Amino acid sequence: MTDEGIKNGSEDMVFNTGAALLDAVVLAVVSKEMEGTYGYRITQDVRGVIDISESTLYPVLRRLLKDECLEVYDQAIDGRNRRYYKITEKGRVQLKLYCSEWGNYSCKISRIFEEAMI
Amino acid sequence: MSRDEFMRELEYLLQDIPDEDKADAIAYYRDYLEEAGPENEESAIREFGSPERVAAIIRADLSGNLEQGGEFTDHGYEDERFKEPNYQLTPRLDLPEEPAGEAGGDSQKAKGYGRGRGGSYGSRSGRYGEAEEKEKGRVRRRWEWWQILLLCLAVPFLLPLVLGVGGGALGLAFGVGSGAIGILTALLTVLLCLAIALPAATFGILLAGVILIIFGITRLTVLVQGILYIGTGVGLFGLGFLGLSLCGLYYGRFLPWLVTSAVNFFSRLIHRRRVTE
Repeated sequence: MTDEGIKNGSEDMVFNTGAALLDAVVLAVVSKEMEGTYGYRITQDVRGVIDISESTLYPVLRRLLKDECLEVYDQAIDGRNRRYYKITEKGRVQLKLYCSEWGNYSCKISRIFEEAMI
Repeated sequence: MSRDEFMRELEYLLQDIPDEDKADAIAYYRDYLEEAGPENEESAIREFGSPERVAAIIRADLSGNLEQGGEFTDHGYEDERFKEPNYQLTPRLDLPEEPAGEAGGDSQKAKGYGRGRGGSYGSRSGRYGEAEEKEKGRVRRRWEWWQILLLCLAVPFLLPLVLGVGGGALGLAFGVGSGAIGILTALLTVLLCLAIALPAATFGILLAGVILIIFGITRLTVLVQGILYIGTGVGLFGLGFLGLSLCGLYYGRFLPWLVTSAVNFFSRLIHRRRVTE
């Protein structure tokens, strides 16, 4: 999701691709950890919600890094480096947009399901 | 497959991507398996699929066509393109585009599923190559064997003719002037001359052949002379048929082609804007 998406996100359908929803879920998962979190844990946390392959998240994390929604820092753990991912200010703005969009979207979907004659 | 094996394979498969991206990807997957720990390592590697698949995902991401691919289904998020075993591969960055003809010949490669270790992965160009090959084959098939044979036989006869006509055309072109109109006029003149001269010469030769054969038969009393005449006549008759097939080509193929290409050319000039849209 680019700047453009942030600007006119409210008019456009944000979750028209699966990629946006996955971005949102990853951002949400990372945002919970103030000190940041690392690839394996992010994957396991996301897998707690949606079924994704273990290899899926690398490109997603890279994309979020490139869009400056995430930042990384390395920390020595058990004599080796662990790369931590942390949400940025821009990432929070983006996540906020995703959350409100998801609210609208899921609200509408829920309503149509409630009104459905089964 | 052990972790070391997997990483070695992955590293090997990513040789062609920029160093920084490669180091990044390798570090991520190494860390990932490290974090998974010995107890989860095996299942993680199994779920990665194969080093080839992981390399394909990394490469697709680098070339920027991963954004639109994934899809949520009722059993989670997946990208059709990377489902085993038929995930498509992004072409390696360091390899030049395969020559179209060669790629087209290998259907396995052309489908883009080539999973050969470090081999050249077929890309979209492969499919184009196939189409091109088909096109070529279609054109080639138009030439029947007897036409080719006739052409080969005709070369010694035609060479002087072609040279003469070509020389004439050149001379004419220079004579009329070096301007474009001059050349065009000359070409038109040559075309017109050919249009008249070709059938005329053909029928002349045919006629001469028939006459010589008849003449030869009447002279059969002097056997050698008669046979000589008949032989020459038959030869001329054959030459006449060659001329006929040339006429057929000229009128049936060349002139229509010339007219349609000229029409296309001018209409493209006029409707240039519409074409570029």
